[in-house]
Amino acid sequence: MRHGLFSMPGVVTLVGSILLAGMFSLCQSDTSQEKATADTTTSKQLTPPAQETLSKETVTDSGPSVTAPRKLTVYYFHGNYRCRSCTMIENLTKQAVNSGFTKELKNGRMDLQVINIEEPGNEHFAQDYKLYTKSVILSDKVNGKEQSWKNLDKVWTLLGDPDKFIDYIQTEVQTLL
Amino acid sequence: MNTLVIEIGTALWLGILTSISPCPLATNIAAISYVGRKVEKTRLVLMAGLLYTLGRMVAYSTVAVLVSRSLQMIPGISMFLQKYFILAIGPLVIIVGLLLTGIFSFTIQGSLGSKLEKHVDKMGIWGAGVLGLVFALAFCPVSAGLFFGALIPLAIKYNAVVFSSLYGIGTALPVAVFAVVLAFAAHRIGMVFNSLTAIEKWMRRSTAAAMLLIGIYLILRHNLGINF
Repeated sequence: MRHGLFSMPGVVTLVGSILLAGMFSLCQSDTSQEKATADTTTSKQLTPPAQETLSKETVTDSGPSVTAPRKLTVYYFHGNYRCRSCTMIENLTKQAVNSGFTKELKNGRMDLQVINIEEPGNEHFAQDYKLYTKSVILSDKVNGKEQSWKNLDKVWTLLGDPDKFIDYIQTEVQTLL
Repeated sequence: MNTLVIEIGTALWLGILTSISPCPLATNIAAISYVGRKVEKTRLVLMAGLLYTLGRMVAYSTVAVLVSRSLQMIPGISMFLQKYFILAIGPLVIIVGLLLTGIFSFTIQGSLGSKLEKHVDKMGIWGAGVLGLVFALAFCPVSAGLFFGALIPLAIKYNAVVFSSLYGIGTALPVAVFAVVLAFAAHRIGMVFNSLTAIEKWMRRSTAAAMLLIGIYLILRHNLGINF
C-alpha cells in the first residue's frame, strides 16, 4: 500500500519528464523546418493584415452611397466565464462607443452588441469571427450583409491603459464610418 | 536590428503582462509557494525556479510551433486549451498539496526512509517543471488574448520557438523572482535566528496548506463553475 502510493508520484513525474523532454526535442527539430515554412505562411495565412486591407478596400468601394444603409456593429463576445479583465474590456469598449459616437448610435449608423457565445444560437459567432478568446469585433454591414470585419486584438495589450484603449477603439471605429 | 531588439523586448513584456494580470493569480501563488518551499536548500529553489520557467517555455513553444504551421488552428486550439486544461489544474494542485503534507512519507523510518525522501526531493524539483508546463497550457482569456493575438504574429514573423520561449520566460519571471527572493529571505531569517529547521518545517506545511486551498478554489471555480 505504502509502496503503491510512492510509486504513483514517481510514475507521474517520470511521465511528466518524458513529456517535457519529448516536447523539447520536438521543438528543437522543428526550428529549422519551421523557419523555412514560416516565411511562406506569413504572406499566405496572416489574416489580420489581410483583413485590414480588405476593410479599407470595401470602405472606398462602397463610397458615400446614400441608398445603401450601412451599419457598423461593435461586438463584444464573451462566454459564461466572466473574468475581471474581460469585464474591464467590456466596460471600456462600451465607454469608448457611448462617449464617442452618440450621434451614430442614435441614428442607427452603428450599434453595440454584447453577446455570450456559449448561449444557444450564438455559437456560430465563434466560427464566423474565428474567436480564440473574449473579443471586440467590428462588423461593417450594408443592407444587413456583412462586407468586412476586424478583430480588435490590441484590446488585451492596451488593457492597462484605459485612455489608450478608448482611443484605439474610437480610431478603429472611425476608419469604418 | 533595432526593431528586432524592441520586438524581443515586446515578447518578454507580453509574458510579464500575462503573469501580472489577475487571471493567473491563483496558479501563480501556487507556483510561488511550490518553487520557494525548500528554504533550507537555496540551490534547489533556484533550480525549481529554472525548471518552472523551462516548463512554461516548452508549453508555449509547442503551441506556437503547432499554430504557426496553420493559423486556422488558432481558434480550435485556444478554445480547447481554455476549456479542458483549466479543468486539470485544480486536481493537479490538490494532488501536489497532498504529497507535500507528507502524510505519505513520514511513516517510513531508517535508511529506506531517507533514501525515499531524497527521491521525493528530486522528484519535487522536476515537479516545478511539470507545474510550469500544465499551468501554461491552462490558458485563460487574458493569456489567450495576449499569446494568440499579440505574440503569435511576432513569433511567426521571426521564430516561433525563440519568441514563444521569451514569452514563457516573461510569464515565469515574476513567479520565479518572487519565489527566490522569498526563499532567500526565509533562509536568511532562519540563519540569523538559528531556526532553519523550524522555518523549513513551517514552510513545508504552509506550502501544502496553500496548495490545498488553491486546489479547492480552482476546482470550485473551474470544475464546478462557481463564480466568486
